[in-house]
Amino acid sequence: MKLLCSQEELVRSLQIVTRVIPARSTMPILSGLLLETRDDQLFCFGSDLEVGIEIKIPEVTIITPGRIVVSGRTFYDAIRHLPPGRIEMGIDDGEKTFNIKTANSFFSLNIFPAEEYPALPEGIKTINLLREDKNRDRDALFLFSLQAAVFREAVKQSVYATAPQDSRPFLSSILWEFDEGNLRMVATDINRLVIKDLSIKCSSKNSFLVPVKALKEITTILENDDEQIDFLLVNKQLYAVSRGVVFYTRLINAQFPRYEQVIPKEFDGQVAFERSTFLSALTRSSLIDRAVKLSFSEDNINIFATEPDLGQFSEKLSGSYDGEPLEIGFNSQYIIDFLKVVGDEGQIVFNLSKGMKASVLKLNNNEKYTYVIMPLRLNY
Amino acid sequence: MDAFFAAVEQRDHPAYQGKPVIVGGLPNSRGVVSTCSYEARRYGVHSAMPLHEARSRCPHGIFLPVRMKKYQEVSTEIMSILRDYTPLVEPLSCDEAFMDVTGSEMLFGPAEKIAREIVDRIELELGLSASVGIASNKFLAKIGSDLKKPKGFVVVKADEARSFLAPLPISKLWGVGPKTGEQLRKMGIQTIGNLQNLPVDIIRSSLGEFGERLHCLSLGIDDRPVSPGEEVKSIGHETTFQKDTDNRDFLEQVLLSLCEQVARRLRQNSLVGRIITIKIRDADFKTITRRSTLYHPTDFEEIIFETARQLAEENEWGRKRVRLIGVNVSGLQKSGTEQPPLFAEVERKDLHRLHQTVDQIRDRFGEQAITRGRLIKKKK
Repeated sequence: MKLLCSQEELVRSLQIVTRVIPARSTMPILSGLLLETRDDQLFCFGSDLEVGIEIKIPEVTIITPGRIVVSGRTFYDAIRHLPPGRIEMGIDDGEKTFNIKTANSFFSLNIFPAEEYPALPEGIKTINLLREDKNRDRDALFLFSLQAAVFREAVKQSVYATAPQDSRPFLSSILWEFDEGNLRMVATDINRLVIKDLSIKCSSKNSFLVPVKALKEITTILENDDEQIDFLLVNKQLYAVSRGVVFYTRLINAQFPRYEQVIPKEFDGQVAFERSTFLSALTRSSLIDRAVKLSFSEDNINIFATEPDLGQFSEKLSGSYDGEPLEIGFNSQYIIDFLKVVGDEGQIVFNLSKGMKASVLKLNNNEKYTYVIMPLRLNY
Repeated sequence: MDAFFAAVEQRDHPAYQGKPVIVGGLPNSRGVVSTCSYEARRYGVHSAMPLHEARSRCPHGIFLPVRMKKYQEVSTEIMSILRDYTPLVEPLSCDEAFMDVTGSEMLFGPAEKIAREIVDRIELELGLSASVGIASNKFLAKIGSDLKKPKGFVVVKADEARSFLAPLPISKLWGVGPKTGEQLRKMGIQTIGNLQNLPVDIIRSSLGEFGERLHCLSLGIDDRPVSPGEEVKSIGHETTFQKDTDNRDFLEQVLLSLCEQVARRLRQNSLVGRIITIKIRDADFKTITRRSTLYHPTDFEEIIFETARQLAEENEWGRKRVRLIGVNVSGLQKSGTEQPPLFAEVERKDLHRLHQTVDQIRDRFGEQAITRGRLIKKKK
């Protein structure tokens, strides 16, 4: 293997791929990156067996093809510390070191035996074949496309309501349900539920659980908001493909609770707020305690928090309330989380239930984002 | 209480009365003496002495294991007698407590009369002997109660405090351990009286603020209030093995049993906790503690165990033969105050009911009445 490449492009690509390689693993070779030439292109692949990324490195001239595995961390650090400009890299036949040369610097890095690297998942190969041959039938695998900015916002608006550290799989992943025209992402940490709907063009119908960690990874590797991401399903793995990058994640094999049943249909009161006023009032109240008591009556909306060791807080809010007088306790953080991820378009509508029943937060005139939260039992 | 654990054993086993009883474990085990009867003390046995040493000093002693559960029960009975006279009871350990009877003298007569009544009731109702110290503050009362054990009854009048303390060794002062004791002895201070006569500036210059506090104590000044209901901050259990071990199956079993005990105590105290900490001490006495924070607070042994086991796995169970293992739950809150879940099916009502039932069986028939199949000890 011998090739020429640009330091700047290589650093940018390695920064992305090295994100998924594990720091510690029972399989040491997974700390390596697979560099492989195919059809005059250089591909770099890294994986922890749950998620993986293949990236096509731009601006590469292949002199002789090859396939090697080199320590990901060391390789990335070495390239990162080289000056911008042309780099010559390669390995001589039969040699055990990977050489990186610039005008004055010379790294000679140890390599892993490439034949021991786990086989690339089926989907990577399939997707590469699809790319080469536009005429191939990809409908069987292709799910839908999303604009990067739209996807990023959807992830931001759903992951906060999950419990990624929990051992129960449905709390550390997000349910994707899609059929013609609509993708629904559903997230929960047991106490609250997010339902986010996105318009898509789609000809199939399916549902599965995607790990939160993977979704966060996808949003960080997308560079450009205008980029288009294609989602494909191959061998029970979800692939996100954008210009030079193929990301895949295993899907979670678990039941998601029947979420439709917990979305209340009828309420005892409704209030409309200005987002920023409500947010700053709750932020003040959370300085005293995370539990907050909201009291509603026709002409009075009040926030109250108390903590015996600290003191009390109360604030009168402006907003219009419609319903019977109510007093409900909430974890203020839950409401703050919602208010932080929605934009300033229109008012916030809070549909309230009395007793220990769930309430619903929505954006005015927007049926595509629903947030269901349980109240908090208060003893004051 | 006088030689509390040993006294409970002698009370429950009349054959042990008048004989040297040593509570702590079998004489060939690696533990230390927890408590010994006054008969055993004549042979020079004292608490915290290694059991093998106790055995060589008192070979015919009756060595008994610690029945903590039993002592806890008796302790509860003692504390409830004390609470008949005032709510201001501050347990110092399971067999010692401070009482502030300032307001109770109107109802029950002077402190001396209350104390006599309590000692008589403990003897009559529980068959145990107690010692009493009566004084104007906690420090003097504690010194008084320790002075004439067993069956001591010491009253320290406020104007006698100085002369009462003067002849006592400096080590009787709270906060004076071997190190400070050594430092004070170098300054020529052997007795509390020596310290009383020392100008406060001198002690302050060598021991700082702490010295000043010691000086106050030496004069019998102590203004800390009796504060009942010390809040539980964490609940934990640990065990030292007879022999260091690296048998993972066995370690897991022990860990599960510890988690069960912790969970049971959480439930007994109506608490749930979020922070699970494990402690592993290896054969070389190197101790590691690792913690993990749960998203939802719990009192389920299944969740505590799974979290603790994972922590242990991640740290390879200390990588060596294990001497001691422990588990602790902190970040506690009252159960029932946690956020109710949206999904009833994830509440694990089945497990909850199981715990309730098992707890009831144990309350009625003892801790050993029911156990998990996994924890049944194989017959040798």
